[in-house]
Amino acid sequence: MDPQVGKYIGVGLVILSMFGAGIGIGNIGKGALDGISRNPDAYGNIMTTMFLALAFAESIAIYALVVAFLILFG
Amino acid sequence: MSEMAQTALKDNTDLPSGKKKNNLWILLIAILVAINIAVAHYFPPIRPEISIKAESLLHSMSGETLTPTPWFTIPLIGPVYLTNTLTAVFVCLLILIAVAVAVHFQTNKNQLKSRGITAFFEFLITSLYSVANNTVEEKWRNKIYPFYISIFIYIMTANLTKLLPFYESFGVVIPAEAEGYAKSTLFPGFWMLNPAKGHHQLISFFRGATTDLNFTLAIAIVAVLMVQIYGIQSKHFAYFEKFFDIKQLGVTIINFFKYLFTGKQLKSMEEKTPQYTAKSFITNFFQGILNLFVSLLELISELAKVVSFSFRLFGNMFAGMVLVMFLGYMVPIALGSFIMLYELFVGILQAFVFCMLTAVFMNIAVQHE
Repeated sequence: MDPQVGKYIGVGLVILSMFGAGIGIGNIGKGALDGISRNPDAYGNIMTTMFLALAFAESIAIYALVVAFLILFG
Repeated sequence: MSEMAQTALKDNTDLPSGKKKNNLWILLIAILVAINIAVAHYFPPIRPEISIKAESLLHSMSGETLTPTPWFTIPLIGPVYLTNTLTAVFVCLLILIAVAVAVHFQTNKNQLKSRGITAFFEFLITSLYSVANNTVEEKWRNKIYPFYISIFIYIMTANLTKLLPFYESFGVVIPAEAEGYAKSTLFPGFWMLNPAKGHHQLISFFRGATTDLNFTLAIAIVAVLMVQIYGIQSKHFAYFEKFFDIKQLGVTIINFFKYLFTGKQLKSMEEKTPQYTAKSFITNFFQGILNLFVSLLELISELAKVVSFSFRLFGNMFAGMVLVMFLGYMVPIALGSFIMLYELFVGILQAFVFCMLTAVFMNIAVQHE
């Protein structure tokens, strides 16, 4: 079998970790919406914290993306 | 009553001119799309070459192979290559210096209102202050905010210069290592790469500064180092307790020997376990070992901060670059604008995340329990 095939399968497997990041980002958005609908005055504070938490959850997916890029182009 | 009538009259008179404006926008967008289609037809996009490493702009032929040559060599440190991310850093620094000079000449001592670029930066900095005021302790604001603001402005400039038009499409044409593209002459001395197969590849003059891991790693190291320094300034030697917590373990062992020889407990232990038993010794002992282990994990997490800081920014920006390049290659018409808009958002958000996390970590480090 062509060794390139293994490379592409590996990239596909690495991208599976984005499953978890997606769940996390969804939860964060849900939490922020709950908070805002209960206390609309806290909109600004909640949004700032939400973006920070989003970046944390997203960075997990980004690590996977970096590994995928390393496999593909590195 | 008369006021209302006046505003109604005003609205009525404004309506036709507003309609005209809308038509003008549609016309402008149509012209831009037409230019887009024409350019995509006459200068067809080639499949971009992605490399994680920043590419050197200077090359020399040694025999058959093409090797990158160092720009200059620093004794004891090694060669420095003129890479395309380095030129992007120079562009970024030039912009920042120009802004600083402009702000300097725009402000007077007895001026009440700021204008132009000064007003913009005033707005930016005050809104960043108001965001961080909720989290950062008042006593340390003077020390934490310079890093917070300058990291934001530097990374934001680096991220946004990446989006300048033609930023990654002009460069040096060099012979390709593997397969490349054919080149055709535009003007004497200037070439263009065609989608046809050939033996040339392009190394662009500029490439987003944050798509180089060295850049993000440098800022991350500075940020985490300053977190440690502020922690030491705030708590002196007690700061290292966080990383090497042997307090409970040591007290328990000393207490054990004291009880063995004198039959009395240490005062601090007496409060916890009035009746000294083997069981209480064992629980305290294991608690101490656990504390030590947790504190060692804290030390590792401090190192992991550098990695997560640098990889978050690098990953986001590199992924954005790949997205823009490949979508520009596959769908060269109109879609790129929307991706660029998204990249604008991501660039500002990541700069904000980086500086906000720096401020939060610094605040945690200087806080006394």
